[in-house]
Amino acid sequence: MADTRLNKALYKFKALKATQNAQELAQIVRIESAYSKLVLDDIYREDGGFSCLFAHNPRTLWEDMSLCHFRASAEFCTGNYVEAYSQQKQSFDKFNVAFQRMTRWAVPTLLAMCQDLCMLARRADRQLAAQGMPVGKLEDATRAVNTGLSSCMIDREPDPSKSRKWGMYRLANLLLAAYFHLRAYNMCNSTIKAITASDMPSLDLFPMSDQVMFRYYRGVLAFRDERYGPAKEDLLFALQHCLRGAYRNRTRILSFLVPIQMMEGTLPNRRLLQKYPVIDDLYGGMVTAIRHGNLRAFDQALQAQEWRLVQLGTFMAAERVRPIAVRGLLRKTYLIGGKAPHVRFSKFQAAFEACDLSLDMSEVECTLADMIAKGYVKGYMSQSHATVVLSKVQPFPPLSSVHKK
Amino acid sequence: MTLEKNFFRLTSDPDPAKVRPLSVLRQTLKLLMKKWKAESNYTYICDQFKSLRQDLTVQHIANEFTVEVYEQHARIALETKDLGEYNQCQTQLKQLYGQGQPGKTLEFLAYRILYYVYTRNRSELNEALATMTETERFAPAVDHALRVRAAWASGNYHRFFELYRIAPNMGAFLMDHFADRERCAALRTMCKAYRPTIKISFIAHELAFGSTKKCLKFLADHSIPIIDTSDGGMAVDGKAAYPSAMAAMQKFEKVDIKGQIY
Repeated sequence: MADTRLNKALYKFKALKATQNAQELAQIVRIESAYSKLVLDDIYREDGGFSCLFAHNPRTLWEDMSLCHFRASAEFCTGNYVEAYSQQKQSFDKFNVAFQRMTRWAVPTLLAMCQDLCMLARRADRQLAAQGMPVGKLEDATRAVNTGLSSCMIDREPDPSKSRKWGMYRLANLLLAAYFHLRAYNMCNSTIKAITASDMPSLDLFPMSDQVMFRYYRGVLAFRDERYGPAKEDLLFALQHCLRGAYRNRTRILSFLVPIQMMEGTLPNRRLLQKYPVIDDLYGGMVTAIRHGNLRAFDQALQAQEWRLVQLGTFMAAERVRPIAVRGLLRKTYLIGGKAPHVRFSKFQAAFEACDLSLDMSEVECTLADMIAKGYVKGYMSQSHATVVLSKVQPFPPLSSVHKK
Repeated sequence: MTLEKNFFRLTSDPDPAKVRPLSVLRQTLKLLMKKWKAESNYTYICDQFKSLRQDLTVQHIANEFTVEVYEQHARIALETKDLGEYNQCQTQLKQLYGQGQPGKTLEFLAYRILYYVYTRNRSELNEALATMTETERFAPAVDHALRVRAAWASGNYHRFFELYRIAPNMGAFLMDHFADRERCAALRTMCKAYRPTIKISFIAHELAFGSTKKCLKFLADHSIPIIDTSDGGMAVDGKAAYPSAMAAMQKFEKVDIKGQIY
């Protein structure tokens, strides 16, 4: 009988909890687990449907949670993601209640449930959007995951090795990923604040995968705030410790790291651009333009990639790289003039002209003044002589020493 | 029922007898616009608009007319330099446009961009850029606002003040709020770069002062010293004036509550 089969499955969940079998429970609690499929197949074969799942009355909280899991799996198999999400959420809520009294062993299960919750939420939202209905399941899911995160953080377990705190960063990363998907960056900041404020073992004691992922998100958030120093630190760490085979992740890290380094004058080399065609697409044009001292080409490359860079969130940072290109052009002009320290404004105007940029003299002066004020060029401008007087020592200081605004 | 009504912040449920229906409110708006043109009494007009908006809110009227009300109030607030009131209207309009209500979306998108430049809110700017459609991107007012942003972001004061001079619609009123800040930044750059002096006539033109007199007043207001040049004109001594120029810039580091505390 189908009901017997169901009871057997529910009993298994109960047994795994009693024996604290962390690995197996975390495995079978997944929506797409082999075990769940097996159970559902058996039930379907015997009953021709899943009605027994919905007719069954659970006796305990844990049984209720397990039952909701199977219901979610069933809905998932029939492609009703919205209902699947709803069932999974119920399952999760009940699990969370039980979780309050559990220790570290149950963390992988919590994590598995949260991952499925987010996965179902995304699919549900896609389904709703396709039907023209309002979306919001992922947002709902983030609230649920947040309660899971709090459960991990607020743990009064005296034995540190049994504490739930060790699940914190994995859950936090899941949450941050969801917020990024929703473009709710302000929520990320409050999450990170809560983590840093809490009494936690330090980040470097957690598994490396947790560290890399967390630092990636923290780095990108700093990047968005234009705190490029801390951003670079986190992103560099993430890149250096990211698995060599994790190509997509490395590309993502680089897409934020490269503009920061370009701002400091470090251009990505040819090997990197070959290895990561996405990076080459986004920034390759600008790199070539800088190497050739062609300001117009730089502007064109920036404009060509504008939409993609804006979607990524690095457009305004890429704009900040422009002074590097301008400096290159000015320096070329200086070198072509035989390093004469006095260079007339008109010479620079001609240089811009050579790049197909027709600027009137006031704009040329403005550009020069800006470069001097920012420290890219050492010297001064004389209005009466319409000349730039460049410093005899290092008129174009090395980029590493230029103080950025 | 009279068309006009003073504004009182609601502390409990409104009295239905005192709430004006939509048909009356339409007439009220016409009257208010006439009065604004004739009398230019901002305190009175703002008060009236707020009560108009309140009557719309309590009746949950969110349609083309609501949009028109907020747009008109926003424009009047801009003209009177009431940025706080403008910001309130702008926020409401963003919501209404988001719901699909028709209105002068392009005009107000341009204002929003300029407002974000004023508050230096780069993340909002990025979001605005990310969600813009092709039509919006190339609409004249929006294109102008985006070029203002680009000029501001790269420190190109020359282009910034060129754009200031040709701002469409009421953009110039918005730009007024951060023109002085950009002037101080530009002066700092000029003092750093030019030696020995920078002609006042040059500064007055580059920074769109309109007249030498206004330029001199600005420099005096910000304690920037002026010297006389040998050919009878006036100038700023780059090196001597640099500390004052820096100090003047520092004054703009914190934006007031009407904008955003940065």
